[in-house]
Amino acid sequence: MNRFLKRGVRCAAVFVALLAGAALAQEPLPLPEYSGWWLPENFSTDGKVIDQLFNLILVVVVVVFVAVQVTLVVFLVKYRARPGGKATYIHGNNRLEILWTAVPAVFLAVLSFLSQQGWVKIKPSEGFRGGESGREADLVVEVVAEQFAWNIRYPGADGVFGPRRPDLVSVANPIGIDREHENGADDIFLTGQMHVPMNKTVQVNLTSKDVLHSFFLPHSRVKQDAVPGMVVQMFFDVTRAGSYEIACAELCGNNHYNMKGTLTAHPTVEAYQAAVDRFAPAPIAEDTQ
Amino acid sequence: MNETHHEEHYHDQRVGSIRKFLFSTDHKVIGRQFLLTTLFFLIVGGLLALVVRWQLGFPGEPVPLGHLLPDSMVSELDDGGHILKPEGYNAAFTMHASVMIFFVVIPMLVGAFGNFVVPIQIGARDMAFPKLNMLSYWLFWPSAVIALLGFFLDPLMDAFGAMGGGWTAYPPLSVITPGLGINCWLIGVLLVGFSSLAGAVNYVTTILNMRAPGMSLFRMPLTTWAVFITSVLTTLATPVLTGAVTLVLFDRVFDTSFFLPQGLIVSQEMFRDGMTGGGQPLLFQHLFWFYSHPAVYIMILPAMGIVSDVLSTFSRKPIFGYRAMVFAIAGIAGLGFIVWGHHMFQSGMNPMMGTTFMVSTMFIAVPSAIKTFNWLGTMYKGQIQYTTAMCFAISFVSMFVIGGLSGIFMASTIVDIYIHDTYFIVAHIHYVLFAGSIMGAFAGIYYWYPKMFGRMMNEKLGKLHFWLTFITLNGVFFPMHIVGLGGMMRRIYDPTQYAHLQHLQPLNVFMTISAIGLGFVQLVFAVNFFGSLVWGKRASANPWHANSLEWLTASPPPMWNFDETPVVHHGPYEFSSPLTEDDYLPQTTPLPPPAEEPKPIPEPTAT
Repeated sequence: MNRFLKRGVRCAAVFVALLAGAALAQEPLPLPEYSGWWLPENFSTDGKVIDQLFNLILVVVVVVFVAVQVTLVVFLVKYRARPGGKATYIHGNNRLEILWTAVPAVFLAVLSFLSQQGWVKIKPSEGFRGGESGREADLVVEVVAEQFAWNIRYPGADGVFGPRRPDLVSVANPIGIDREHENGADDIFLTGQMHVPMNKTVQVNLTSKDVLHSFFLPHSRVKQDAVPGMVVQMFFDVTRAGSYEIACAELCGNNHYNMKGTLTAHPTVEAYQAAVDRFAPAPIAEDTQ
Repeated sequence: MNETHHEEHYHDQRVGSIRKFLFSTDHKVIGRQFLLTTLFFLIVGGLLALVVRWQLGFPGEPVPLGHLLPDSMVSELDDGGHILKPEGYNAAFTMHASVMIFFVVIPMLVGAFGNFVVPIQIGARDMAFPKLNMLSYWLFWPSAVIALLGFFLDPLMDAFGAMGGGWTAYPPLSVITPGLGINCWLIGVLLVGFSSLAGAVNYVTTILNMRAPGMSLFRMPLTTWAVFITSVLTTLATPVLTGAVTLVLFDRVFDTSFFLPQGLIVSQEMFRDGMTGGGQPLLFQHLFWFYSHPAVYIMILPAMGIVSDVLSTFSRKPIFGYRAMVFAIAGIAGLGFIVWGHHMFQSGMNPMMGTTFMVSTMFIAVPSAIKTFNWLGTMYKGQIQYTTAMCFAISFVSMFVIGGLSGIFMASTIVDIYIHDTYFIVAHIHYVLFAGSIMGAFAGIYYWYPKMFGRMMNEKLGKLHFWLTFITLNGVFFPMHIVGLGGMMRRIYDPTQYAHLQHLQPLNVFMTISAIGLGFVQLVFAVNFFGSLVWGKRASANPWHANSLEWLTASPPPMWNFDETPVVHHGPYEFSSPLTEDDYLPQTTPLPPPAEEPKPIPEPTAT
């Protein structure tokens, strides 16, 4: 256990150091407090809807669970075999069958309906695979997953992403941004860290270079698989300024467990802009022209 | 009909002992072979689970007895300890799932119980195709050996260990990862599919054509019904898996591109120099789950049948709503074919399709609820006898409720966004497959052991086994719900890497200790199972006073099961009838002339 503790401390130290490095001179924004044996605290608008339905289902499920188990135990005690006793000869009861078919069906229909109301808002099918966006977003970020890193791209000053070309991919340019292209020159590229302003809806265009990954933000109740050959739109916001973990939730190889990233939600749009602009490519292109 | 006969009397003199015990075409021998083989693989799968649990509870600590693990899984420390490598961890959980699903639960429920029990329950002399039946068993061994071969190849060549891409084998990972171990796994799964198919075709034919006179479909015991419907599922679904697995194998071996999109880049290099394209990773998931979701029902329906028989016998009461039970099984099987997409809500599948699959998934809970309420109805006003088999059956009902209810969370598309790919799902499948299927299988073993081996198992050891298993299994699987809600992802080598999971580590330690306990507890079962073969009390033909046909012949049954073909007069659940003195009425005994309902002559069998 000692070893485990040491390891934990070391991990935490490295993690804090990484955070500090990421924010350079700025104060690192704090991680949320994680404690308790329950859902981690939610910091998003969609998450509220999800948690509400979760709690509703939980209530229904606990009621059914307790009812069934109590009935079971009562039967087990009350109808235990007694010497000379004979069981009552009952083959069934059609009225009861109809009742316990209809009641669960109604409950499940209601749950489906409630779930669907949230689903169309959180993951609209319009524009899901590109094209017209299904939701209004304040900023667009591209996330390209790879074994075992999260590559993040912002469109830069012109607000338009340049094309990505597989033949341009190299260690220095992991997602193959075409810097020659007019839209690609100012694209801002980061690995393992993502910056957003708080309380703004972020659209993520999510894809992968190699295998399946899954973009998971526990505190915002966000999860979406990244599929190579396919760009998927997803949306989220963060309602508390701070740092959060990005985890990979789909098995992607040996280092799957270590495919982490950091999401920083900045209190103001200006702070967010400043944080991102520090990664803007130096304007070499203009000089050489 | 009730008198016991000496087995020797029926031995076919022309058959040598190798033909009799090893390459037998007798369904009873094959059933016992499947049972012993699957119990062996239960140990293999269980040990792999303990490797996984050890790593999650004590990440980076040397694995006890780690030197016994293949070098591809562990790396040696200076002090002689062996710690699990990430690839070893991935191989462990992948092979744990594969072994448990393909080589334990399906062949145990369908191969062992289906084989042994079904022909006798319908009054047949054997299966319809005895040689095909033998082939089904003898395909099982090569498939299991080949699937696990990856563990042992590395001393000979660079096989990179056993398959580590998850039992779901999602491409592109399962295609781009090198190693012969993955090819072995794919071929093993392909072959075991043929084994299941051979069995399934056999059950369908046997049940439809070989029932004894008077055994109409609606007089069949629910175990037989469940195996029948399960076999229909198997015949319809398995070929799809075979196809999908073959295509992955082609993608790996022949450089085809069924599941690889254009422009795949692995380690900053164009994969296969860019010679991929036109494939769809999601296509595989559709094909895979089109088999694997019905497979979940293949793994639970026979257990439900077994539990129904056991509950009725030991409540001394007719099954409550027999026809509703049959329709519920059929309903689950039918709906089971249109719910596969709930595994793919967050996969990149169009969200509009998520809606369809959510609705169908919600409604598959209805027949499950019907079954649970009917089991409770069966116990209502009964005379419950607490045999070990009954204890396991009762715990099946109780635990299946947990597995069923937790399924509602993930059936909801939006709650699934958070729950998907977390330990909540792992908790759910283990409540269904361990607390459900395996506990149902234990109920079946304790119930039919006297019939299979002619001796009784020890009830005291049985009860001990039951209680210890019941407690430790909840210790392992219940906290998985909690760490899942805390956001712990599946299939991660080291949860302590994440800030949001560190405070959950004590639970991981607790689950690991419980899992080790659960493993050790099974020694009680092993002692009971093998000890009873020698020291068990000799079993009478009908030790439980049950009605179905298997209890009307000797224990163990003679060569062709029955001295003369039985004639069936009524259903299998005529317990405690007011018309009879005894509290049971074998299916071959006509109902006494009644006051209430006139007894019709045996209905012609409807086929």
